[in-house]
Amino acid sequence: MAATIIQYIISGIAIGFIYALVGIEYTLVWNSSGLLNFSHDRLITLGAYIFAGTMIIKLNINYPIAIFLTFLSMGILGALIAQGIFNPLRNMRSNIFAVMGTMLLGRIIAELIRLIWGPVPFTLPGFMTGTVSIGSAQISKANIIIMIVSILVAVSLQLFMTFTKIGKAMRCVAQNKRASSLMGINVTQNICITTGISAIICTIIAILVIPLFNVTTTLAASIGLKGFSAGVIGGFGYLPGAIVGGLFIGVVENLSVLFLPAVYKDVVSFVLLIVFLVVRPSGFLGKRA
Amino acid sequence: MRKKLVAIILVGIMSLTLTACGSPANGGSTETASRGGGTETDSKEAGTGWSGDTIEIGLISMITGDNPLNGERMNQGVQLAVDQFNEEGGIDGHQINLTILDDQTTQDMAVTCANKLISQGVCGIIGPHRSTNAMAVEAVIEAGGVPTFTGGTSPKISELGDQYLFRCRASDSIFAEAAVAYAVNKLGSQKIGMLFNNDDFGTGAEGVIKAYCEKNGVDYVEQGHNTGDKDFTAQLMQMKSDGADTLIIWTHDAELAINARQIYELGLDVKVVSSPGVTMNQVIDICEPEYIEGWYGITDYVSSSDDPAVQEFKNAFMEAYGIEPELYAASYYGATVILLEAIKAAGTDDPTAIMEQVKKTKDLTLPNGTASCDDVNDLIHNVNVAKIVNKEVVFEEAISVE
Repeated sequence: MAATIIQYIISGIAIGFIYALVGIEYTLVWNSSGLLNFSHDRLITLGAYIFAGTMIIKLNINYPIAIFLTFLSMGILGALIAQGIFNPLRNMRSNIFAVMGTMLLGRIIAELIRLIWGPVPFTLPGFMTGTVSIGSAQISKANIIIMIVSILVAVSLQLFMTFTKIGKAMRCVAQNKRASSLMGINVTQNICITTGISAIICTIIAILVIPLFNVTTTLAASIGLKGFSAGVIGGFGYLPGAIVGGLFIGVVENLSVLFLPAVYKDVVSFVLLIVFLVVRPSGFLGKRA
Repeated sequence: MRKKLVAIILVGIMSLTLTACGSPANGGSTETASRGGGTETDSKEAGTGWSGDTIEIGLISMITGDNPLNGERMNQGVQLAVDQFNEEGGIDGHQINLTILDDQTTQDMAVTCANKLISQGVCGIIGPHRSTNAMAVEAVIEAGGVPTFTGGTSPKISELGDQYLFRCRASDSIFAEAAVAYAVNKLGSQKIGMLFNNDDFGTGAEGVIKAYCEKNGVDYVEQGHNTGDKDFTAQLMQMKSDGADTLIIWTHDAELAINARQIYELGLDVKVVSSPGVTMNQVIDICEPEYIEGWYGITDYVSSSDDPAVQEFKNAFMEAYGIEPELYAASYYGATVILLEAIKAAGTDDPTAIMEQVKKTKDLTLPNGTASCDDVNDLIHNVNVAKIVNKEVVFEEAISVE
């Protein structure tokens, strides 16, 4: 029994880091534009198709260059999305315009993926496959890499936000757009940079989950909402909060199987989301609702 | 000005998204046949003759949505059957015209598509595929009186009692019973662990397998999951601690591939019998060979079967599209052949006469089995067992269930 519980916790931590990365990506866009990007699960899927479908399988480029080129193309796409949707729509009377805009963008990306790469799912054979034993528990190499990369992404972002001029500007914009604008920060440009970075994080998630979920049109289904829950539970708007929230959801939903049928795993995550929204909207680490 | 521009762009995007569903897709003609400019009875005596130069049939496919690959194979299978009939001169000198609509794999769009096809005057409809979509269009097609063929396998479809709705694949109760009977009788399983998707597809099989185990005194444990789940560690570890020696997995392709990887990674030493997905390239191609080695799959269609009907269909399909067909292509090819044979036998494109002919279908050899219509409009009553050996689907045996 102890071995089973350890396995649940380890697997929960592993999947929790994926939720955490998604939560970080949500948080970045929220902080910079005050909007939620509901097309981000499609951006994750698009990143996987560009990397695996085009860079690796079609063009046969080696992995480091392929990763760089995918980051570049997704970063540019992210900036274009900000320029085309977030910036024009964020000042409209209601946020619903921007939310609808991102949802429709998601639909368009999904159909573009089907038209460009076709509906047949595929994978990268041998890419980050294999497992490592920790005592009696098993963990896949992909999950270990996900944990390391997630921590690196969170730390790098935190350093970037604290010590670089652009990062400081991003924090200013998150705090008060009008004041930032008066202080000479180009808010529009800042939102483009932030969305570009968030698209790159989508690509990081995409590349990391290929060995786990394969490249399919439904690659990011379900992790999108769990990532949103991670953000809320950890404290929306605060990057380390997304990691805490992600790990919390991952472990709790796995351990819930000890008391509930496994089919209620999703229910557990979303009940947690509602409980936090009602009881502690600032989450574990957040300072504001 | 900027707000106006944005509003125009948004309206444009929404219009594009909405119209995508109703547009005829590739492979189908956009023309609609007139039934002589009036009602059926205006243009011809009901039950005799032809209403126009061409015979109009429709296909409700899943071109967009979460199941586009299966939709594409469905289109190809139906188109192949139509082309074959047309190349042989059509039916009674009339060419068959296929109109393909996209239901986006949603129920509301399936109803819209069915209404559109019926208003266009088609004499038969292939699809929609999913059981839930078939049940959604059932009232429309019964009111419209057009024979319709679904591949939805939920046992609930048989309970609808709609005389115009036919099923062109074996029911889940047949699939599931074949799976558990094979595990118990042929593989010597002592304790069955059932992993099922918590939708109509999975729970239908779960009910049948649970009942079989209770009736035959076989130990049984079960764990469910939802469509879109990405981690099955908890369910699999539970199976391990419960001591199941055989897993029966009933779920969709994406979840099946993830289960395969995790069963291997968690080192579960079990026999596995699966729903049809494991016999299809879209699952096999995304699994490392060791993940699914030795798995058994229960399916409608196995390409490696030496049945002449299978080989003939496989060769024709490969010649037309350059790829091997799978169960969606085979099942809907079969459904189209049943419909077209019924039109031929009826000698008319009157839908009611065609429905009556479909009901008379008996021992019609198809790539996915032998079609005979029973009293609940189920046409196929046999399934195949296949084994995965080094990523090849090897035909094991055919099982008929009455």
